[in-house]
Amino acid sequence: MTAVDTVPLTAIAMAAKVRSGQATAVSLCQAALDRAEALGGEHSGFTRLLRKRALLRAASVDKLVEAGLDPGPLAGVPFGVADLFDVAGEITTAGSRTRLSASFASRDARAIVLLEAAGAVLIGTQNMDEFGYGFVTMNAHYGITRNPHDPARVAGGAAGGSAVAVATGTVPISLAFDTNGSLRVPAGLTGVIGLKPTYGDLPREGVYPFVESLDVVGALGRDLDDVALVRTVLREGAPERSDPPRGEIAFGRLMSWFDDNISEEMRGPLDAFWNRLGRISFELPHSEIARAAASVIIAAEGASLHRPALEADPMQFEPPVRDRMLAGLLLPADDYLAAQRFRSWIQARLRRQFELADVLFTPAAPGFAPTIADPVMTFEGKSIPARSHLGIYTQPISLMGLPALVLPLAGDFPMPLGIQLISAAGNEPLLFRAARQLIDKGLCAVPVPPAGAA
Amino acid sequence: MAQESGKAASSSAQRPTQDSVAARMAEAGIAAPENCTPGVLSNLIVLQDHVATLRAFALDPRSASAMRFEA
Repeated sequence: MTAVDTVPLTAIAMAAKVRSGQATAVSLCQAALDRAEALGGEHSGFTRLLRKRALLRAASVDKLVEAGLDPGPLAGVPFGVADLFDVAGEITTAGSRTRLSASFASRDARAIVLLEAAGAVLIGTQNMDEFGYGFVTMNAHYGITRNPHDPARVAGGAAGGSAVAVATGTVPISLAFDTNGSLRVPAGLTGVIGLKPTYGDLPREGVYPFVESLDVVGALGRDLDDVALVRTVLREGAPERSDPPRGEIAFGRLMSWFDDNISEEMRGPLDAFWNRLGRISFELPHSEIARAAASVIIAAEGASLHRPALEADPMQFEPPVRDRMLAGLLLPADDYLAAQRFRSWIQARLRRQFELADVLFTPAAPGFAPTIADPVMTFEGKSIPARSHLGIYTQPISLMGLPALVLPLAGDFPMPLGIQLISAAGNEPLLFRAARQLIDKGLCAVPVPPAGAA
Repeated sequence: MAQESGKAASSSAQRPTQDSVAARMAEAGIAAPENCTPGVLSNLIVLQDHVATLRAFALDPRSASAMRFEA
């Protein structure tokens, strides 16, 4: 990859400039909007720019600064959201043409309200796989989102537009969602930081659902402190569930399921990373069953949610999504309940796993982003569709409800490679501390936006 | 508790066919064109494999709730 010379400003640095009067919110938002427009939808990740709303909002932030008031820790920071967050006065498409005639949202999603109350400015909505059902962000109606490090490759998905908007430096932060790896896979493939919080930790009000028992709201960014700040804002001062352990963090690499099907381009850098962390490994028993249970839950809940639309006109859905949902409609209730029962069982057992290691890690995805022309990957020796399988390492973690943070491995690779850090439920502060340590040691780093992308 | 058993029994469940998929969709009230059937069938087979993996674990239904949704 060829890199540009400049590193985009972090959200925290942008807000500091706005609060001190060195920059205006309007100028920052104007620049972000212009950049997104210049890149175009396929390369910026945006599907819809909210220019009028954003500039009005940015002007109000500037007025507060002029009046000597503090607009908040994200003053004037432009951000985007995956197109399943409600935006007042807009249709929440969830990436589907089946919703083209849906009602306009009457209010903003809670997460948007909270970020804007902290001074941030929403500039637009971002592309995703239809209803979040896919790992490639190749949307038949809203277009393909291309990987900025190689436009011939996928961005990953389902929230690929949100990752690309950050990877290109168009905005410093995006809000997205994660059902089964939806933000972690594109974070890994485009070289940005992605937080998938503990299930239920961040507000989902006003976010179009997909799989109620797995969906979480998360954040993508280029800077660790930016992502941590977004989490803090979205939690509205809720107390942490546990204190992070002091002293040295014990890292452990997950093996078996998480060591199978790794591509050659990932294995070398991952082994080198592991060597630097002491080569401790652990098993996460029953991960394959967890992935199977997650797949059953997604198929059943997704199909149930969209049953009215499937009954009305199944041909309105993209064929891969339609066929997966129709199959989900045919699942016996007993299989769905067995999957949910397994979920409860493994969550209870997992609490003991973290007595052995503080932070576990896996690849975020098997290797480099697949090509758009032939979006496949190798699984158990066979070439299979990336659309349905790129999340093999993220899916079990979703079922377990655990928080995860994806970071890019540092190194001069042809394409980004991401690792997924995992902690016990509610232990996000430990994840951020671990990530800081890895960045400071030079083991992880967010690549600068490629030339032509910023 | 659970035992690793039953994989053979579960995986020997009869595979769906295009005819059975078409019939089940009709029973479910879905009027999908015939050309959807092969795609639905291949997805249903994948789900059947996941179900076989799950059933092979043979978790005692009394050992965990199926209705608890928090982490």
